[in-house]
Amino acid sequence: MSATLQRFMDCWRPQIPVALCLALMTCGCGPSASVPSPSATASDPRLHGSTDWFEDITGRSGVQFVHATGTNYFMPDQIGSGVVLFDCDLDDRLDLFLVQNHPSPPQAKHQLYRQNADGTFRNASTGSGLDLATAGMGAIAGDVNNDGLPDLVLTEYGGTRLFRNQGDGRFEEVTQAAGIDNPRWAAPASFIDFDRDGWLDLVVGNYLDYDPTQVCHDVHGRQDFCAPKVFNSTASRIWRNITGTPGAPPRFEDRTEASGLARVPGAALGLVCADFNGDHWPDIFCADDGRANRLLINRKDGTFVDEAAQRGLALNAMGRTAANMGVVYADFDHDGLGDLFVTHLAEEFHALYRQDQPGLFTDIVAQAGLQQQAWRGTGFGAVHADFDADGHADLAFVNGLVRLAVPGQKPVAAGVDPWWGRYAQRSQLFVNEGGARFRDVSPSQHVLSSEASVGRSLAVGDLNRDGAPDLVIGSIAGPLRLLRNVAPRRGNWIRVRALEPNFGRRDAIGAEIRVKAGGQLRWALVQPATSYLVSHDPALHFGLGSTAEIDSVEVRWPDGSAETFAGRSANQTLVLLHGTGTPVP
Amino acid sequence: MLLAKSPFFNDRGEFLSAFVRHYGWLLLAALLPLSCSRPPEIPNVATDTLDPALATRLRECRSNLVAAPNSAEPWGRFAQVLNAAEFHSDAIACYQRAASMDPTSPRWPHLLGLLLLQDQPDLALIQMERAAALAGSTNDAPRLRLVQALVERARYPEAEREIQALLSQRPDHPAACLELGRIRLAQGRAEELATILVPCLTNVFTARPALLLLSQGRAREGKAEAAAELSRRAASMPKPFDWPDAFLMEVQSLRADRTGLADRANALLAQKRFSEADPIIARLLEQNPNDPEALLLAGRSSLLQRQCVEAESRFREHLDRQPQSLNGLIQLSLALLCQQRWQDASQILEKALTLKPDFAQAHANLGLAQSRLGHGEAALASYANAVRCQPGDTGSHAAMAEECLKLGRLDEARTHADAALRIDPAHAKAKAIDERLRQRR
Repeated sequence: MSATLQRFMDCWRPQIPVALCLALMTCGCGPSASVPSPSATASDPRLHGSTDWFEDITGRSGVQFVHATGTNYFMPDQIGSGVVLFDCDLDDRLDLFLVQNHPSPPQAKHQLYRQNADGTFRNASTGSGLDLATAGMGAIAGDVNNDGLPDLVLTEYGGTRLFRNQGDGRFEEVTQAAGIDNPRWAAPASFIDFDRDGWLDLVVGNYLDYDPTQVCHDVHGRQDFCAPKVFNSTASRIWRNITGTPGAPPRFEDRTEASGLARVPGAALGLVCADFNGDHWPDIFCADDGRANRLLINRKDGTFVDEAAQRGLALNAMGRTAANMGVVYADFDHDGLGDLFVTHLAEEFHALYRQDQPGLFTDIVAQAGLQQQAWRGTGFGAVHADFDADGHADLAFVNGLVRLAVPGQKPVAAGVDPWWGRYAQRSQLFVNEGGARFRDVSPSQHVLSSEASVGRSLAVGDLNRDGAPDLVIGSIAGPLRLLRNVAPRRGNWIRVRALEPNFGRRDAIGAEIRVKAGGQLRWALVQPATSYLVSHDPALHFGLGSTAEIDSVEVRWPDGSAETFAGRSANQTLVLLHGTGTPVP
Repeated sequence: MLLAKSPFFNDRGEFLSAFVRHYGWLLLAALLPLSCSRPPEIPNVATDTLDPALATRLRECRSNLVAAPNSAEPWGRFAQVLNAAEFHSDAIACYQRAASMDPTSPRWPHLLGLLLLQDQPDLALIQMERAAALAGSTNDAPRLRLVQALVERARYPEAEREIQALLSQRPDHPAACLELGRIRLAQGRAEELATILVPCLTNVFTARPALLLLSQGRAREGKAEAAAELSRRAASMPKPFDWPDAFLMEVQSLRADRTGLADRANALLAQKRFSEADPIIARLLEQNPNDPEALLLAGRSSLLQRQCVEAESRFREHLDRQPQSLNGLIQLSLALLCQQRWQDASQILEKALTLKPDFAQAHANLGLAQSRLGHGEAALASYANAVRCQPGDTGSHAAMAEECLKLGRLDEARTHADAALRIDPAHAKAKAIDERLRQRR
């Protein structure tokens, strides 16, 4: 046999699986502008005394979206679909792009909901150019041609699409013309300016080399979804933005091979693009399902190298791989460094990787109290937000099973397809009591947690601009939920938008914001694409507790430069423009 | 202070947990008569959908238990099968019964502890402590699993006590040293790792995880290059597997059902351990000659042993039963390529690609077949599709370079050879083509 043939034979490692083991452009016209909030306090008096931190406003919001997908153990159906919170029409109100996953008849099309002045939403899908029926997975918003309008990227089973925002509620698909080509099963996506040239580059995390003809059963002989270990890993992909001229049609070049990403395949479900090692160059973290995570460190020359193992992010506290899915990157202990939370299966513990020193992490899930849970869920979408504005970022995540061996929870929420109801689980909320010590308050959260669904996407944003972060929850084969933050006794807050005036006044994705207030440092990253398949409100919210004024805000811009901005009183939105602050040496 | 010295407080002041741990034995002793006075009913689980072999085993063990309900052993053995068949709550009840009936065996509290660990960790730890005490020096697995459970919950002082117990029996206990290293890293004492982990580096079960811990330790000492090198070494080692646990292996071995056997055969084939894999495959075929998975495994074994005609036959049998099996199609194509039946292989690969258009390996194999058929342009297109689906596929880049070379398209050949060598500078075929291209100039 020829050596060539031998190579092909050796390369094909058949996995013969027979078992299942088991997302505002605010009109700041001056160098920096503050926008008074329409309402600084938002607690509904009727809810005082309630333990609920959220009120379900889906019914009166005008959003009527039920996720559609198959019921035949086709693995891409199990992934769920994403949600984008973005101001698509620059009216200073968050709009919604909701992804569907049912391309076969009866087709379900992706939907665009634009927010009205009264806070309700109208379905603006028809004619938007987004109302396609594809096997949608995740979606993100970002201005790829620096014209000030947020564009959209949609990942799919078997593709990745780019939609250029035309500014009038219409989007034009420009995938091919832009040079985006990805035939693989794409899941998470994120914008990153990896070469710091002011143009947003694109990373797409591909998931598995899935075999749609593979049938899997559990030990009881029941057909169920295949486990990810059954299939081979795939390379995530990266495209460099070469558009060059503001407002021009977007153009990208594939740098997957040249960057080194092709050398380290994985099974990405979560993605965070941020500076993980303190060198002011953005890196890429991939949460890989059932594999060691990847931390692709930016070598500043267009290449990346995986350093997850030595930096403590590859494995969990016990040195084991886990089913890594949703991701949160936030400073839970106020040390000015981002910490990474990754959701896992019900049978595993989640991971909270504290950044002890720049670039080095330790899984402290036990010390953080996150092992003490009222129930154990298979976590997907996860967000951090200081819901009660006490100064400490809390943690919420949505759950939903992936295999029948673990019994689903009841009661199953109304509107969830009964076939999928078997996989339903209740969402969870953990309150940060300070110092990254958490307490599970889910049992007292009736609106958020009392009914089970197959939770997947979870996005955070201030939908009604009241200074309190709200939630949008997407679940498989169930209705989308909008939860308004009505946490009682909320503290003061500040909302920050960091914009790039030289690049179309787009959001400064990748910027790090440090707010000094009341003797405490709060750190956050402008990166809407975290959690799971979603894109959050790009504005950052900081809870201030009883502190009524902030001392200063420092911004580390994506190009590596830093500026400070003067303090302000609390309970307003700050719009910080790159180049208008005091440079930090 | 008296309070501080109270055994109810551990280092983290967790009163309830400490109380349960210190007085759990008493609680158990108090509850034991109750459990003895009302013995649990023998579970009767539905076996209709279970794999026949596992169902048979369940029935046998249940019969044995019905015949001797006052003996610990049948309760425990039945619990093990229930455990293997994932009837967890029933298994827990039976393990509890076995443990109470035979207070001298570490097996039942150990297995019970492992099952309870997820949902009832405090009760699980009581059982695991009991198992560790009963096992003594005869079996280190119960104490090691207790250590791991404590480390996972960051209960380091308690874990260290148990580690010391293991080290007192065997000062160079690799798995104990590994867990001690994990504690030290979490405590910020990375400089101690190099010494602690020495015994781990030569042990097959602990070498890879120890290298990874050392890598993290070096990174914390600011030794980035050393950390990267250790990380590379770890990555080059076989994937880790757990420290042997004879009691747990008893449970795992009960998974002699079709799925368990097939998984095992597949793993053995991946390691080319044909003499061990083939009897398992034969057993699967004996149970069900029409089992498509077994036929696929049989074909795979033949193919890996270069018995290409036999392999083709098996794969065709498999495809007769599952015509849309992508795995079957790709395997059949390999059997045909093995026989240099390029045209036949092409047809099969094209069918596979209709089922999975992003099947990089099928594109690459189709490129090979097209090349052998003399269809240079078609081969190039297939290789290009392979690279499109799988960036970084040096083999396809090299194959494209070779094809271009054959077609006399030297500039393109150079481009592809360079691409292959950028990804893998040591790629033999790409280097050879590079050399030939240099000579042509």
